[in-house]
Amino acid sequence: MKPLQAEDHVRAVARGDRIAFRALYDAASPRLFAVILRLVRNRAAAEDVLQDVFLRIWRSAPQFDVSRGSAQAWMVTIARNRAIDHIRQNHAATTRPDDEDELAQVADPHDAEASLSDRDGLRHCLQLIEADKRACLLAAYYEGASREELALHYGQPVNTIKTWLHRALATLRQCLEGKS
Amino acid sequence: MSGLDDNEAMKAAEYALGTLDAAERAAFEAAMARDSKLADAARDWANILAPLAQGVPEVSPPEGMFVRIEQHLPSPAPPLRLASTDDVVRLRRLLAGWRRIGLVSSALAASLGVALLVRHVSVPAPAPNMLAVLSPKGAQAPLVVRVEAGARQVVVAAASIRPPAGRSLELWYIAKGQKPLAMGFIDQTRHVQALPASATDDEIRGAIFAVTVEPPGGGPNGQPTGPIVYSGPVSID
Repeated sequence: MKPLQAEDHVRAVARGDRIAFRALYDAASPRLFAVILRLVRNRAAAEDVLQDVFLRIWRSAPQFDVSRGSAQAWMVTIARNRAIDHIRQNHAATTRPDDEDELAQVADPHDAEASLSDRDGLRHCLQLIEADKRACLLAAYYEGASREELALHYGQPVNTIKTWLHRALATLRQCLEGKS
Repeated sequence: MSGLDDNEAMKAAEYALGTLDAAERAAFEAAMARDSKLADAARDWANILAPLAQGVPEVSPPEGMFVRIEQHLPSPAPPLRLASTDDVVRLRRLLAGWRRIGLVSSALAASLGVALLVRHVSVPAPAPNMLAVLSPKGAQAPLVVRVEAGARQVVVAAASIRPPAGRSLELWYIAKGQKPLAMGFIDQTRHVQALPASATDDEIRGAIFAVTVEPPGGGPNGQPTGPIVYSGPVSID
């Protein structure tokens, strides 16, 4: 028998199945929490965001459509959107406190990139992006860096950063579409 | 293809990446609500980027986080289930179930503190019969456990007490300073259960009986795991 997948759990959650909700939480929360923690950099805030994310998963499960992406991608998207809302709304652009103890548990995002599987071709396609632009893209994805933060870090005007990001994204998309 | 101009397409990409500022994010979300092509484009980008998250080493959320989340789910009270590993949740749900079957008074529900109602019976020496009357606080039917010390057995007749759906009610004998010993199930039948042969009259006299709510088949590892719903000491006249 095929083990239950996240998609099965989400479908059951859509029917109001709380056992499935617990199973989904057990399976998905450690990765989602890690992603959120990396973005908001504060454990208490990350817990609040995680709570919000699972309540949204509960409410939105009936709208989940597997033909439009995996359950994993759907949940990661909810988690990242809520975490990014949190950091953008809290204007913590350059002064976000680093919760050092917590961050110590979170690996360097570049390690995260390195552990990507080649399966989706994403890793290969990332390699086609120039180093600085790729680093910008990854800092935005993993750390929630804003254009302003990136501009500060790279000593570039904000518009240049925007252009870098657009080029990096366009390269990624072309590469991925070329492969499929 | 997507029918979006370059600017819109890049807004969707940056929305998924997270680099829009708060005002741009809000504006884009409003636009997505009006235009499904924008929403589709943002979702496509999110799907493209999502594998990046697989590389982030997992971090376990704190214990109790799920309970916190679950408390915000809409009522009504959730159904009984076996999967919960959290005592608080289990307790709340079980109480809801018990209330439904009218077994436990609301006073018990409020406190789960269990008052004991002990009846005295005359017993012949030297192997007195004893009785433990286990009752929840309130006017619900007590559970009577007859302890036949001479025969080293207990007799339970609890015709009126029905376990909640999908759970069992397990009876425990707890001698002073010892681990609970399983004494069978409360299942509307009369049953006789042997006490440990080593139990002395004194030990039995000082013992208590308790009933807990357990998964079907009883507490794992032969020990109680669920909430106590009845308990009472052994008494002798």
